[in-house]
Amino acid sequence: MTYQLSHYDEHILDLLPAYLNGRLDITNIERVRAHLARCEACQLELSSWQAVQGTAQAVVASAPLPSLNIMNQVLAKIDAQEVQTQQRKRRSISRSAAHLWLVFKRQIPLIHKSIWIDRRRHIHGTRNSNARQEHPLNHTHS
Amino acid sequence: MSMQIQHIQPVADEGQVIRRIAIGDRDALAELYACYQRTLFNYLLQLTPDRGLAEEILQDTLVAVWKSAQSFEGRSSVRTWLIGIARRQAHNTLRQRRLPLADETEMEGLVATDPEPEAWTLASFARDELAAAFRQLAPLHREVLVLTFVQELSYQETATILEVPVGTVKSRLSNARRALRAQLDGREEANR
Repeated sequence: MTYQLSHYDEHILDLLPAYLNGRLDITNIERVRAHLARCEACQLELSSWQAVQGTAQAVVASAPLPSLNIMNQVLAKIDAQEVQTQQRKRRSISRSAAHLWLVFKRQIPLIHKSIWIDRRRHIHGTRNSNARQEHPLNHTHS
Repeated sequence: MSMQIQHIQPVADEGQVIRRIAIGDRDALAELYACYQRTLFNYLLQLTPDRGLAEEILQDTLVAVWKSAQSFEGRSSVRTWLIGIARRQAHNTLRQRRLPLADETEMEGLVATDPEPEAWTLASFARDELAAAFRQLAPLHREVLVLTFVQELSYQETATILEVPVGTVKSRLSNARRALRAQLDGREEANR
């Protein structure tokens, strides 16, 4: 026996799984109930969904539980990952420090270059000559 | 440190438990696991028949919960959030190991998605037959049936976990039931 479904029937069919699992709002529950009371095709559909629901629940109920030591293994994984993270952080810090040292080390020869020394001498020399110029005796000499 | 899971009581305030996990409370993680071990493991067994692999993914799920508890905003229920994490872990692991992962678009194309009434009810089949046919379903179909009828999630919650629109959840449910019937019809044919 086959049934022709209207759009309304199709809408109700969509709601049947949610009607069975109790997740339908009250307006739709009443709509489904009213429709089921007069629609043989949807009653058949509901009965099929009930069979599917019962089967899913029975299959899952007979499934095994996980092993007892799962939580200990989880904690061991968390510990291992935390150690790895710490090591990565330490490696990253020492890499940054090594990089900084390398940059600094490359600057050291520049410090001894004559340009720096000459500039210092030049600055000192200018200061000394200015000091000499400002000395009252220098004025008398000139 | 050895930790025994002794009780399977519902967690009183799940949001509070997640906040405790976020600040590094390992007892809170154990409490959450005690409450959801069955839910998560049963769900994972729908995605892979390999019990050892399901346990490994379960462990990875809890490690991911530990690491991402701070990002839980309470927009979905804890159950939906946990199953979503388990699903992502399962998909990552199966993909990495090149294990069969149901191609969703391919599976969706196998059967028509328009609702169509059945000529006779599935309730006329024996329980054992139904259970055997259910176990033969594709992971994609078992998954949506378990989320709806065992976890009793709403269409919206299921859609969030599966990362699909609500309409796809409805059509996938119909397809799963058709696939179950096809299994049963195939068995009947074989027995004749």
